This record gives sequence, structure tokens and C-alpha cells, in this order.
Amino acid sequence: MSTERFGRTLVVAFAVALFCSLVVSAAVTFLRPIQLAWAEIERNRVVLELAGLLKAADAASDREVALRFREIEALKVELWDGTRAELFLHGEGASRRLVLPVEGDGMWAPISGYIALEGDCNTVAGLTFTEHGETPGIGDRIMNPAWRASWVGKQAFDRAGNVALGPGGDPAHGFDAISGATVTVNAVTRMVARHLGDEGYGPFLARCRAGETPR
Amino acid sequence: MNYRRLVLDPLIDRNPVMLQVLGVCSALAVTRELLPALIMGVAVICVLAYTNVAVSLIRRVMPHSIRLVLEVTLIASAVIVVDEALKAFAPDISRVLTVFVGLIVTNCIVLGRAESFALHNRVVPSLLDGIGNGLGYALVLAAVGAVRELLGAGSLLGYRVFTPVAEGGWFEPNQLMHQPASAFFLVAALIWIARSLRHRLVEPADGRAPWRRQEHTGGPGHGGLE
Repeated sequence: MSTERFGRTLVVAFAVALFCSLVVSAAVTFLRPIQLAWAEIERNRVVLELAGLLKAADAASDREVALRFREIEALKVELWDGTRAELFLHGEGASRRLVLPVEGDGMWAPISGYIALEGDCNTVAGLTFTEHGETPGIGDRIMNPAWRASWVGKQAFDRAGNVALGPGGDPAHGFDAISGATVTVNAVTRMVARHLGDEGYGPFLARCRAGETPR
Repeated sequence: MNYRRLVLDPLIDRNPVMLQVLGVCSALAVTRELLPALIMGVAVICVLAYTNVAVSLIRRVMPHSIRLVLEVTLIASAVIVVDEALKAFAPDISRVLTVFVGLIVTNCIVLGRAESFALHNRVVPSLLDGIGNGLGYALVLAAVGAVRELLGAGSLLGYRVFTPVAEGGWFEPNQLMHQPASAFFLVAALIWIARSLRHRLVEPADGRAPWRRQEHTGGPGHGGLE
């Protein structure tokens, strides 16, 4: 190829690449806020279900989710890495629920979800994952409602105030293990422990268990 | 150049899926229900129209050596934009379609029309050719999606048409329609129907492509009309 044709090839290639990147960047910049708005509705739907305000969460319309979410109170707590996590509360006394975000590295990709605690800030009321990249059929059994139900009613903290949730037969703190998905289950155990522990919501939850109203 | 034929021919006479059997893969995966199939069809029409116009615009300055790379770049960026737009304006459908919107990049119809038509024709004919082929593809997807949803769930676009046994009616949903393989059978049935309606589309015994029979000056670069 002559130098002139080689130069022209480079110019055309660069021009097309530049044009395409501009098109994609412009589109994404414009569309990103809309996508985030949808993501927030989906997140609110999960929080409402865990807080016990929506029975059939999937069937509820977006408008219903937006309306009912106004009943939720939000709080910010600072985590170990300086980021602020948003907690959600609803209700008074015995029917009070806390919905706490948890996230961490799973086996293949980050896992994120929410854990709900009852008014005593100790008993688990529910668990839902919103994002994960775990092995289909094995690790993704953490999405299985039956498995998530094995967390319900367990105590998150032991007498000493440490997070005691883990896979196993302990009637007070043990949820079901998933055979073949040890890495995933351990990842979930770790991230729940880290978020509920002293590095995360621990101090806030300790005050709550001591009977102070959360602020 | 007959603009009307550019748009109407790919619907049946030169349907990219039924006649050239291109782009079948996504036809299997997204047609369990009619609505995702229609949205996918619209997505492919948009990508085809944009790509054909873009390739046609730069066809004279595109160096031959990197032409495929440039075409794929254009196709890929179009698909990204369509994917993001779907996520923004139809997030539920986007979740049903998952990776298959991204896989439009590999859809043979898109690169096929870019190479065989847009590369050798002006912008407006290329645009119409893109829209026409997209419509032909969407037609096949709509037909397969409608049959699969009707026979597999008794509904169309989510609206109940047959009352299933589970709700006290007479209709027993056909489980085969839930499997991707059923789309294969339906596309085959469509190909059969198309060739029964248009006998001249049936390949002659010597294996020549059927549409070549019509043209005196058919050559590899002349996928277009004279």
C-alpha cells in the first residue's frame, strides 16, 4: 500500500471511530438519568416489599411504588470506607422494620441486596438480592425464596453483640447452606457480617437494640 | 430505481429470514411472547436503517482494506445506542430481551445488507433497503411470536384470548411453544408457506439462488434492483 493510501486509511478509520464514540457517548449521557430513575423505582419496590408494605411486589404498578415509598423514612450511615449508605425505616414499635443495604464481592461479580430487620434490630425479617453474577443454577440459588426464607426469624447478633449469622444448624443464627455454592454463601455471610458489624451499621444497631430511637 | 419495491420486496419475495435464512438465531430466543418479538423487530429496523445510511454515506471514501472493520464499528455503536434506549424507555421489555439486543451486532442481515447493498448504492435507496429488510425480519418475528404466545399461553400481547384450564377454561397451553425449538419449526413452516405462495422462490435443481432466475445481470455486488 502506498504511503498516501495508508495515510488515508488512518484518517478514515480515526474519523469513523471518533464519530461512533461521539454518537454512543451522547446517547448514553442523555439516557443515563432516565435509566437511573427506573433503577430507583425498582430499588424502592424491593425496599417496600422487605418493609412489609407491598405484598405482591412484582404486581404493584410503578405509580403505587412511588406513592407508598413516601411512607418510608431514610437515614444515612457512614461506612468503613467513608461512603454513606442509605437505610430505610418504617413503622413504630413491634411492627417496625429496618431495611439495610448490603453488598460485597461474590464469586464472579459484586453482589448487592437488602437485609430487613425487625423492630428489635436483631431478628431478620427478610433478605433480597438485587444484583449478582453468580453461577446460574448453583450460586444464583441465593435468589431462591425458599433459601432466603431460612434467614427469617434468625438473630443477627449474639449475646456479645457480634454478628453471628452464618450457614449451619444453629437454631438461633444459622441459615441454610447451599451445597455446591460454598464460595457464594461465604461471600454473602461475609458481606452481611461486615455491614451489620462495627465497621458498618453496628453502632447504629447497637443503640437501637439498647432502646434508643434511631436518628 | 423502484423505491416501492425496495421496501416491499423484503417482506415476502426477498424476505431475509424466509428466503435467505439469515438472522434466525434471535428469532428463536425472543419470540416466546409477541411484545418482545415486536420490540426486537423495531430495534433491528432502526439498526438496519442507520447502518445502511452510514455505510452508504462513506462508501466512496472507505478504504477497501478496513471496510469490514468500519462497518462493524458502525453497527456496534448503533446497537449500543438502541440497547441503552430500550433500557431507558422500556426497561421491562429490555429485561426480557436481555443479551439479544446486543447480539443484533452479529445478526447476519445487518452486515449482509451493508455489504451487498449499502456499499454499492446511494443513501436513499440504502435507507429504504434497510427499512424493508428490517420489516421483513420483523414480520417473521411477529408471526412466530404471535403463534408461540397464542398456543403457548393463550394470550396475545398479554391479553387473554383463550381461557386456560388453570383458570377454569378449555385451553391446554402447548408446552412445546415455550421451548426455543418451536420457533425453528415455525420458521420452517413459514418458509414452506412462502415458497408455496411464490413458486418462483423455490431453488432450481442446479442449486442456483432463486432470485437469480429473474435477473439477467446478477453479479455478486448487485443485490439491489436494476
